[in-house]
Amino acid sequence: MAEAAGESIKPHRQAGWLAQRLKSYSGVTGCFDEAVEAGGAVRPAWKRMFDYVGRLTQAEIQLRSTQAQRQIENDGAVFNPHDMGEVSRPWKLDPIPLIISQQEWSKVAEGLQQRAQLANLLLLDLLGPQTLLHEKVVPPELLYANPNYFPAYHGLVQHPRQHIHLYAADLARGPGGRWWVTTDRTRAPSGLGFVLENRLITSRLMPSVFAGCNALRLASFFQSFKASLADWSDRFRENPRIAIWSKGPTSKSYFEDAFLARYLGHTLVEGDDIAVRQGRVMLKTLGGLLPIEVLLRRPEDYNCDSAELRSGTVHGVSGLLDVIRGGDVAVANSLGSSYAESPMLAAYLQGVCRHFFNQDLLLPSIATWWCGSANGLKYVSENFERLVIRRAFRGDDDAPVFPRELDAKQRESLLAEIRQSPHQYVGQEDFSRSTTPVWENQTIEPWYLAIRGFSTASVGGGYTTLPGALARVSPDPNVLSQDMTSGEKSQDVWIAADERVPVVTLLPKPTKQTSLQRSGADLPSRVAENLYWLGRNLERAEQSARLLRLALTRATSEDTLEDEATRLSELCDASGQLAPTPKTTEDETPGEPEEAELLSEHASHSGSFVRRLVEGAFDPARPLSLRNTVGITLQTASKVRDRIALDSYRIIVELSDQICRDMPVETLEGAIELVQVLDGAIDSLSAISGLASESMTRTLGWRFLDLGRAIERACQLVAAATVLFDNQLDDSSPVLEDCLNLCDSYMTYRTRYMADLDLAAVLDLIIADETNPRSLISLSQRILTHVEALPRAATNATLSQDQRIALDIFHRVRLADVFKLAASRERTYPQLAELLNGLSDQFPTLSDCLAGRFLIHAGVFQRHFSRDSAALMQQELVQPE
Amino acid sequence: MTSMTYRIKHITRYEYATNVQISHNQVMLMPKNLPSSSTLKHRLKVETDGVDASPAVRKRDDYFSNVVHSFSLERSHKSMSVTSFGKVEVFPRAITPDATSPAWEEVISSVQTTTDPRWLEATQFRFPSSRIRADDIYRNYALESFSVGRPVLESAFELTQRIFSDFEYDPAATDVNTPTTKSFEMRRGVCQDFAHIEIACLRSLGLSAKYVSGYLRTLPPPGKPRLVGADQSHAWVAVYCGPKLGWVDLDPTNNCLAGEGHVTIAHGRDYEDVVPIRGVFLGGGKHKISVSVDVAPHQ
Repeated sequence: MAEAAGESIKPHRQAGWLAQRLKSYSGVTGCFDEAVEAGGAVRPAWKRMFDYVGRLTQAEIQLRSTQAQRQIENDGAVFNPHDMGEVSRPWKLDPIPLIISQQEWSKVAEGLQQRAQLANLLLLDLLGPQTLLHEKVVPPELLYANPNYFPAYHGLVQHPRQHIHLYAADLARGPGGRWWVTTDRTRAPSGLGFVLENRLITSRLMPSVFAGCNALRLASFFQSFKASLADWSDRFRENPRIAIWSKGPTSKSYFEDAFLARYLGHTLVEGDDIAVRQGRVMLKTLGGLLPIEVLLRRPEDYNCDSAELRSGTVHGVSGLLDVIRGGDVAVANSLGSSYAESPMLAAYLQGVCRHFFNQDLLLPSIATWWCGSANGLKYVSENFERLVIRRAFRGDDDAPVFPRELDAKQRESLLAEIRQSPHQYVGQEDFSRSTTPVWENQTIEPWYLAIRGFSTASVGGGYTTLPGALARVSPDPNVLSQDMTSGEKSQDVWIAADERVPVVTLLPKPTKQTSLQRSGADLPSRVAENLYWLGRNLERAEQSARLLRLALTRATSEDTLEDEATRLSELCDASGQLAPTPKTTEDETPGEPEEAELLSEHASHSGSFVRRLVEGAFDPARPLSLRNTVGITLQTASKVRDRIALDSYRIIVELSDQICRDMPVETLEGAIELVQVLDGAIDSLSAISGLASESMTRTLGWRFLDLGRAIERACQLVAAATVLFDNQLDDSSPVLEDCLNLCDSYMTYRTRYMADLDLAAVLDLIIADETNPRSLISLSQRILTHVEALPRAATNATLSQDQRIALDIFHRVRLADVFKLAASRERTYPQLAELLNGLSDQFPTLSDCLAGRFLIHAGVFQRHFSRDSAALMQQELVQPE
Repeated sequence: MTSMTYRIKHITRYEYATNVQISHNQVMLMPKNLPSSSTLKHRLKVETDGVDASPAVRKRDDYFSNVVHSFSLERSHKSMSVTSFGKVEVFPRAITPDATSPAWEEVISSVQTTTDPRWLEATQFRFPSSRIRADDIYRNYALESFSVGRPVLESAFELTQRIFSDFEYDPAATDVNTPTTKSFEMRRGVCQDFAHIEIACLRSLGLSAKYVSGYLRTLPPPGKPRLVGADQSHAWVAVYCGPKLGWVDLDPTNNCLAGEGHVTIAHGRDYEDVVPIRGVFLGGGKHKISVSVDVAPHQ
């Protein structure tokens, strides 16, 4: 990165420097290189790429690399976006793609299709007639010794279709140029979302060379992917409801699930969104239950049904298996499909291939020995140090072990473990990998390569292979063997045709008319709930930021009166932004509390107050603090990121970067800087509400977001007025100005009444003025409109509870007389207090009522006690004999 | 000896603290048809709050050929009862503990080398399952009875006898979720625990063993003590003794081979495969269960 200082002409800054670098690029000795032959000649498919890169300057290619990374971060392409203690890291994309000629790829594609077919037949057989076991093609341990074996999977594959909808294999290329399969993925292969993301970015970064290389388009694969899913649905074949069943925002694959859902036009659901009712799998929506025909699932086989399979799982849908048996839902890939990705199978797949097709594997597996067989155990013991040891049945991404890297003692204990339960282990030949050019350290370097290829079911049988792949690269080949998330970087994979390729897109053909839809009652309740709380937290953050800004500005200005300072301090305290008065500080000895108190009293609206305010507002542990509110906002937003504009999400991420950090404010000067931070935060929050009101379609989702905002804003206004107008104000008190400031209505007031501050006029503007969007009457009207537009049974003639409360709020505000409100008695405003008290009770009631009616559909299933515990209870009674 | 016919009435009743909104249930209560018994009649009745709920009941055979009924209740209720009525004929079993059987090592090796014609069927019941792990503690305990070359049935019957005498029947010591190792250490438990322990012993040696759920006849023979577990659901073990004898049922709780008094409901690898009522429910709060079982000889 750092360049030598004082160098006047930097050769690598000039065009042609890269061309020189490429000329000397030669891969790694002993390894196959994807781009150049052993003699140094560039492979034909790579010629255009080398020409193109050779014409770039170093700065230009670095710019592309940076752009690619920025795009990825903006799209949120990370493993596990909001991490809960797990590793979360952004996807890294290299600007240089991997190029494979179509001629060569077609052989790989055929091999992948054959293996996908085999996985499908194997599954059907193992869960059906089991001829493979009877004829001893595959040892029965594959099922019965598998720690995750559930007999319940048998009988789930009666319906004729391809039970492996998506198959993937990880490939490595040996020194001779031959591709080998290192792992099979048959349960829920991940990576397709990243393939798409890589392709969108890389083709945008270098459009001319992309076209020049005749790279095959990916869209046709996804057409097949979609069509075969739709074909699985027995009913409503024209327009079946297909859902992508994700493990939720904390899972590794959430980005990909959300991305695919958007790209394919399917509904993204989590376990809580779906339930078995009336013998069908239903999507729980605001408008009621809607049947789902096909589930593309991410959860593990054994976590899919908490009634029949493993209990206590958070993702499971109780009763799912019975619906599958009845043929009323199709799950892709079928439950039990994880058997087909057991590493031990690699030792027997060639036999399975001969059994079903009477031919050899087109793409062989890396040589594998299963220790459960006498010969396998013998071979593995004798060749221990040359081999890689893996679990025979796949757990959650168990990393392989390299015995040669262990010391003698560790090797012994591993061998002992293997001998203890041999059928749990396999030994695999340690394979070499090919290298490919990567942009690293401001130059081109050869890195080791792993690719994942994908095949999907075609309508009518057979499989289609993706004309592309997911490439992972690393300078250390062992890193690549761990799992899909390992590897330093990723590359797009271009399958280069000899001729120009036709453009295929997933956009619907003009001949097919889509039925127009405007409703949105199929909004999942969970999404509505998250949008509602996103609205409330966004608003709470904005109000907290406004209050903080005001309080800090006043505390640092000279002419603040004591009455005003007290009221603001009370308001900050009431809104949860103020840390308690420190009893002692670290500098003082406990013996001098009196003096400290005196000091802090003396400087009541300066140093000490500012410190308490900053401590309070930026304390992540205080539930209502600005920092915590922004944190919750980001968390909530990431749960519904497929429902809100990408720009809004980006702004929220930036906002949290600004606010969610420790604020080192010890001095009043620091407070001024903090005011600027708060200005920025308020700008960001305003931008989000602008985006929502300008670009969000007026569906139920928008209603819940806006309902959350309106209710929160009204609550905040009522709370602020309650504290600020608790007792009688002096005429023209600056507190009136503060109130207007908090309601963002100061400018309006000034244009109407000039500088003349009067309580009745202020109350009119913030409570009764229908032309002010921030007034209580406008907010109540907005809340009422939303509540009346929510779905409810048409037959219901009477008002529902939520409608009653919204109407009550509206009428209270509507009937208020500002002059009576502003009338004081015994230094208080009794009518105003009564109105505010009543409202501050009604808003939370309305919120609870809405939650009960629309938002909380989910619940936790309990398991019935079983008979035996009852038998025990009875036997206790019988015991005396 | 002639066959015995029983009328079975098995009521399981759940009471919930608050209303249950929905429940999904799988029921394994219908005695399966076997060479040693045949189910002449069977009926399932589901009631909620004392009224016949007559839900749509789906019936299927599971992987081990057990009969499974499943149903969902989607109307709010505060109690549920499931009653299984059955009429079962049980035939005398010809096998006695002194029947000739091959050496236990021979049974293991002919299954492992697949020379036994029933090797695959036996293999399914050789491996650990959710309630049972193979372990040297079980192996060492079992080896006392399994001396070199000893016939498998003779050894297994001795193991059954030893569990009967070494372990104390104590319903207070364990509950339905007590791990097998724990009740083995305590040397206490109930029929479910003893069955799990015997299976763990047999599998730790390399033999194949099944868990059997069922009923035990009520009627005590005149002058003899009442069998423990009578009028209850019961559990015992079946061990694979080679192709000639096949599976032989052993009851470690009562120190005997299963006879006309044992009515089999279902077979599995352990209790988890044959849970009588496996259900989940939404709402309901805390719940109570009460069971009554009546196994009466048919006149």
